[in-house]
Formats: sequence, C-alpha cells, structure tokens
Amino acid sequence: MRVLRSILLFVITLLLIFLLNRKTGDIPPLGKLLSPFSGFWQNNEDHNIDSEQLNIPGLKAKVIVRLDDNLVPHIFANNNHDLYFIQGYIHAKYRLWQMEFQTYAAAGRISEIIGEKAVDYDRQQRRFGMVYGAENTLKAMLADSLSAEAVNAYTEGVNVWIEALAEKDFPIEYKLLDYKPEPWTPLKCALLLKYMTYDLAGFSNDFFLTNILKTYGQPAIDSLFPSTPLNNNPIIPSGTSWGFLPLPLPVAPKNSIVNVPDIPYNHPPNPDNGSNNWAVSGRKTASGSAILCGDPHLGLNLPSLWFQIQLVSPDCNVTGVSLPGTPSVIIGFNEHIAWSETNVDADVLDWYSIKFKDSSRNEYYHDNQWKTTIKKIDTIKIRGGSAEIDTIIFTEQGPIVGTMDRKPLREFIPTGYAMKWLGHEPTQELRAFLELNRAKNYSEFVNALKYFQCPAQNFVYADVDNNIAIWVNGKFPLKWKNQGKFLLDGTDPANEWQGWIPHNQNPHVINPARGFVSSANQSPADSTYPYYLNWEFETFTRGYRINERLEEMNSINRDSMRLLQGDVKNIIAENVLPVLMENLNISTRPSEEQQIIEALRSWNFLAVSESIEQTFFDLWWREIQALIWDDEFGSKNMRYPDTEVSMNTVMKNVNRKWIDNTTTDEIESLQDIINQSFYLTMDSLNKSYGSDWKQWKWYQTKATRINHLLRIPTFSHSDVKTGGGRLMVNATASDHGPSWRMIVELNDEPLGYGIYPGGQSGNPGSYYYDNMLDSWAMGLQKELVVLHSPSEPNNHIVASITFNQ
Amino acid sequence: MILLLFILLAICTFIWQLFLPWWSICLVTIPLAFIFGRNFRHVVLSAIFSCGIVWFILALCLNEVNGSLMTSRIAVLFSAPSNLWLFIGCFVIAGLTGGISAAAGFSLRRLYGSNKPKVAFKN
Repeated sequence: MRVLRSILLFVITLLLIFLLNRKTGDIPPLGKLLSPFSGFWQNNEDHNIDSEQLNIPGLKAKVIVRLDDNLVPHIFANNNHDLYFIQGYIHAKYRLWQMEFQTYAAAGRISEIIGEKAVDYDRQQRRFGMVYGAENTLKAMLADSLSAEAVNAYTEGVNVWIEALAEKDFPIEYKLLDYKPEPWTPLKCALLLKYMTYDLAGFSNDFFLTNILKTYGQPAIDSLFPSTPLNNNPIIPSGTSWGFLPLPLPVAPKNSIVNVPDIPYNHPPNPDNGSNNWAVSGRKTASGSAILCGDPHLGLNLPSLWFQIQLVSPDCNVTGVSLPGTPSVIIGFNEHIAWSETNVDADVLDWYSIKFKDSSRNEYYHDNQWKTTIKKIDTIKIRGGSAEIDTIIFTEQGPIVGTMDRKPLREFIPTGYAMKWLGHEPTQELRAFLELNRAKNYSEFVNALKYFQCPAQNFVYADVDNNIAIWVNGKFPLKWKNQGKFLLDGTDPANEWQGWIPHNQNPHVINPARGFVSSANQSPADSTYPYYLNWEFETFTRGYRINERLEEMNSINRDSMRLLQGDVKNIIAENVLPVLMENLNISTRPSEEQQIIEALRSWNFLAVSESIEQTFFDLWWREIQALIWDDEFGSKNMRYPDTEVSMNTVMKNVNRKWIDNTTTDEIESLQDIINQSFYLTMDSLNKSYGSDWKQWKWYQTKATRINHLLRIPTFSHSDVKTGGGRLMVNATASDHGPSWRMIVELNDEPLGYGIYPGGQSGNPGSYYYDNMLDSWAMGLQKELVVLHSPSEPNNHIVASITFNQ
Repeated sequence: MILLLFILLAICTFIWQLFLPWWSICLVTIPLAFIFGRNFRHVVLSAIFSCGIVWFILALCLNEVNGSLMTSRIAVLFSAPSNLWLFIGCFVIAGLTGGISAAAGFSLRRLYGSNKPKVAFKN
C-alpha cells in the first residue's frame, strides 16, 4: 500500500513536470514560461541602459559602442573586421529572434518551429529556389574579399552573442514557441538579402495576363493592360539625352506565348510595396545645400524591419538603417553623400512551359533535343512529425515551382512551368552597400552601383558639393518589347534572355535642369529609352504629386520636406470625383445622403486621419472598379486592369463594352455603375460602421496596424491613428507604409533626420520596442545622432559598451 | 522548529534554480522532505508555500523593473483579466510541483515505517 502510494506520487511528480515543461499544441510550456528564473518575467527590461565592459575573443582591437537615447548604437572600430563583428553582435543582442526567424522563413524551415501547418509554405519557398539563390549569392560574396571579410566577421559577432546567451535571456518568442537559437552562418546573411529580393522582385503577372490574352484577345490587352502608362511622368525627366549607343534588341520569335492550364488560386497579391525618394538641389533650398529624402514602403511589422546604426572605422563613417541579419547600412548618409532606394519593379521573373517526355519528368524538350532534368531531393523537417521528402526538378531555365500534386500557395505561380529568376543568380548586393557606405563622390557612388544587381532599385543621390542624381539601377536582361509579359514557350531557346543591358546604359540623370530628382516606383523613362524593363509600373499618382510639389516649391527646408513625405492628397479623387458627382442622380436621395454628397463636393481631397470623405470615396472607388471589371476579370486566373485604366475609363467614358455587367440582361452605362456603386457604398458603410456617418473616420476604417511577425496581438499595435493611404505620397495603408522616413541636409557636415514605426529593441518587454511609433504616426522625425569620435560629448548619449580583445 | 523545512526549502530551491531548470525544485524537495518531514501535512504545506513564495517574490521583483511591460502583454496573451492572475499562476505551478514532489519524497520515508524526522529538533 505504502509502496503503491510512493510510486504513485513519484509518477504524478514526473508527469506534472513533463507536462509543464513542453509545448502542447499552441500552449507554451507553462512551467518554463511562468518560472521567474527562466520565463517571461526575465524579459522585463529596464528602461535605463547600463554601461558595460566586455572581453570578447576574436576582436583585433578595442571597440567602443555608444548608445543614444533611442538605443541607437554608434560603433567605433579600428578596422573593418571589428566593425562588422560588433555590428553582428549588436544586431543579435537586440534582434536575434527576428533575424533568425526571417532566415527560417526565407529558407522554408518554418515547419521546424511550428510543425505541420507550415509545410505548404516551406515547400513553396524551397521550390522557389530561395536556398539555391542564397547559396549562389554566398559563393559570390565569399569570392569577393571585402564582402567575405564583412560577412565572416559579422557571423562571428552574432555567434559570440548566441554562445553566451543563457536560456533565461532568450527573446520571448523562443520561450513561447519553445525552441533555441542555432549558430549563425554566412548563408543566413545571403538568405536575408534573398528574402528582400523575394519581397521586392518575386512576383509576376505573366500567368494572369496570358489568361486574359487567351480569353479576350490582343485588343483587350492593348486597351486595358497597355505597356506604356497613360500618364507618363517618368523617373528620368523626358528629354534627358541618353548619351549611349544602344545594343541591338533580340527579335521576338513567333508563337512565343503558350496555352495555360486552368488553375485555382487563393488571394490577390499585395500591391502596396512601393516607396518614395527624391533629392533637391541647393538651388531650391533655403540653406543652399542639397536635401535628400527617402521613405521605403514595406510591410509594417514588429520587431521593426530596420535597425538604426552608425558605423565608424578608419575608412568609413556612415549613419542610417541596417537590416538585422546583414552587415552594412542599407539607406543612409556619410560625411560626403546620402542615398536612398525605391523599388524599380523590373521584370526579372519569367515562366517557361516545359514539355516533358513522360510522367517520370526525367527528360524535357529544349532546343530541338531531349535533355535531362536535374532532380534535387529536399527534406522538410517537421516539428513533432516525420520529415517530408520533396523532389525539385530543374531545367536549364530554373526550378519547376508548381506541380499538379503540389500546388503552390502563391496564386501567380503557373503549374508545370520552369521559373527563370534573377534572384537565383550569384549577385553582389553586399559589396554594393559596403562601397556605398564609403563613397565620397558621384563617381564612387556609380562604381558602387555596378555591384547592385537584384532587386533593381532607384538609387537617389545627393552630396555635399550640391550634386543630385538618380539611377534606375540593376542587372536588366536584354529583352524584346513585352518579353515575359506572358508565359513563354520553354522549348525554344529564342524565348530566353539574350544578354544584359550594360550598366552605364541603365536610365540615370545627374543634376537635371528642373533642380530635383525623384522616384515613386513609376515608369523609369519615356518612350525614347531604347530598352524594355517591364510593361507595367506603379500607378503614376505618387510620382505625379511629388513632382508637382517639388516643381512649385522653393526655399525648401527639412520641415517642408517632412510635410511632403506626409502629403495625403488623393490624386485619384481629385481626378475622378468631379465626374462621379456629375453623374450622380441626387434629387431622390434622403437628407443624410445629401449631407455626404455635400461633404464630398466641398472636399479638398486630403485623406487626413479624421476624414469621412476619404472613407467614403475609397470604398466607392473600389465598388466602381469591381462593378466595371469583376464580371470579366474577377476570375481566379486573372486580375483587374491598373487603377489608371479605371480612371481613364470613368473620366473619358471609354471602354463601354467592359462597363456593361455581362451577368445582367440590361446594358449598364457608366452612369448606372456610378449610381449603383453609391448605393452599395452607403449600404456597406452603414452595415460596417453604423448609421452615424460622422463616425466613419478614415483612420478607423483604414485601421492601420503594426503586427508582430507571429501575428501575436499583444505584441502588435492596432488602430494606429494615421492619414494617407495607398497610392498617396504618405502611403500608410492598413499594414504597409513608410517603414523608414529619412531626410538628410547635405551641409558641409550632413545632418540627418529619420524615424520608423517601432523601436530598436526586438523585445516586447522593453520600452525601446515601440517607443518611436507615436512620433512616426504623427509624422515627426528625430535627429539622427552622428558622432565623430568615441569620446565626443553628446547630450543624447546615455551609455557605452567597451569591447576589449 | 516547524518552519525549518519551509526555510530550508526556500533557500535551497532559490539557489538551485539559479543554475538549473525550473523543475530542479523537485531535486531539493524530495531529499529535504525525506530528511526533515514530520508528516504529510507539514511536508506538503511547507513545500507549497516555500516554492510558491520564492517564485512569487522573484516575479514581483522582475515585474518592478519596468512597470510590468512584459507581464501585461503576457496577461493579455493568456486572456487573463489582470496581471495578478500571472502571479497566482506562478505560485500555483511552483507550489504544485513543490508540494507533490515533497509528498513523494516524504512517502519514501514512510516506506521505512518511521514517523520521526531523521534529524530531530526540540521545539
């Protein structure tokens, strides 16, 4: 009896410990998590930062890091090895979980952390060739002595932090998901850069466009999906002389477009990845010095995408934002120059139909012969389950991403096609950043850009000698016009990329007559540019508004630039709303609707946070586009024409054939559509936000949120009060927007201002997790502290860390 | 010295957990209950309160570091009505683990049929 009791008590003890020490489903290990010795309590971090002295083996000399009141590190090293070593250490200290998680996401390894439910995602990442591309890029990195030094030192630094990390000090996400950090590798740096490439240049419309072409024919493509924008306000001002002799273009083979099988898809792509940047010459500024501005629009998350930093070594003194997981500064300024990027959206991703000999897919027909495919066996490890083995088939063009048995998650990926992507090639972006960080003048800037290949970016430039410039920069395949607008026949090599546009023939301009340069992802050049980069770029509105304002502005200072970054004028509404009002049949409306119509009529088109007009117009415009296009293009295999085409359709009352709703017997006119959509909008807003229309405030209906990467609500911020929106200069949409805003005055000593929606620490238990969010939402910026020596007194400095060898 | 076991448990589990995982509680409670236990009630109550209070007080101290920034977020994560529930949860987990393991330790002594503490103190 007593023996039994004793055994029972021991069994219960063991069982209890076992259960409390492991993750069960989504419930974290409660014993570990709630223990104040190891659990979440330890992640409560003090607001005050203490100074430290550390001994770090592996350093060549002493390194001093000074921390300012926003927790921005200013790293002073005696050589570049130590500089990037400590950058790695500091990134890991504040952002370890995020940087590691993103490399898992890039490489398709999320199943190792969260189990079965991520397998489809992981398989797609692997078949997309993310690891393949990162491995190629790593080879290029390690073959280049500067990049190799930086990436190896960075890796050492991250690992010194990880090795010394006690379990109680693990970032909270490790504790909730119950796993441990693994050693960092140079491959992870490459994966992180590929993840950005995937985000910015990992999308294509080829599949949708091919379906549209097959269904509605070439005239529909010409009128609704044109290859030149209707309102062309290009990045390089029209009339700029190119000054080079272009290479001959390849000739399009006949019948390059292929039949497409019908494939289901999931959800439309996110069209919000855009950015603004511009620079104004001293001629237009109050101080006489050039001013450079940049705000990359990306997914808004916590921990923040960016990490502010100053990096100082004997040949480098650069301040700006870095990407945790990568050495160097990505957007910023040094003592001589400032630069910022926006995405080009060049077409560097094409799909080739593959004719296999038989179902074994061992051979495919290419260039009049049967060739052997390469099969790579890939193992997806799954937490709490057995691994999944996947075979990825490669042809000369690239990997087959979607197959009938394994349909991809992303809707634009056609089944059975090989993917040709510049992201798979060995590229040298890290070298470009290392050189940019040290560039002293325009020619060194251009030299750095030669290394930057993918994802192509519009690099805006300004220097202390009052030069301004912009380069539409990347490695661009030499294509015939519209090559890759549609899916391509993979049996004929004539459909493949035939060469490259020489770097010095990338569209660029220095010191243009108008006194400013700008880009907002719009069309890079007018029709005189001899090469084809893509058929569609971002809708003209942001670029148009920026150019309109910069044209008329003079005596510019940093505050007027800050206001321009926060500009919320709705250009679409300005153009379209008068036409809508003309066509609206108002006599029969109830008085409440009359009030809204009155408000819209007197609206100044500013999408400020409290605007009710913007809420109404935004939905109304979406309803109009749905009524015009959805009956023809709402199919899962297609997409709508660009907003610009919708604007043209409404303003000029063209495309009447498409306006008619084919699902009804009547022939709808534009006026019918406008009136129907008004009812629908009214109805929908009433249902969603109540009948008191004064409550339909834009910031509430837009509901901007900054989500934690794991979508954990308690680590996220919802209902951030901001104005602006998609296709406006202040492009703050629901979860996309200005992920970093920067203004640099290129005085003799450049002065920078900047902010991002979050904070330097990745720890939700730290004051510095989100301390800049409110200022960001209000459109404010903070001075970017620049130190010239490790001992320089500065009111903003609160602590320092000394690293001894 | 009825509190002796309580005090010893509190000190030892505290030190132990600085170096070992949270479940090392039982590595302390089992032998101490075996040596110093008087009866099940004494052993279980001493262990529940010593282990529970050590966790509770340390949690309280760590919570003060920044005005319960992380504590509040975790309370929301668990849909707890207030932060207090996390402190209670903390007490319960440590108390439960300590109490049951201590009872197990003491039950071993009962196998030998002895009711008296291995080390005797006069009250």
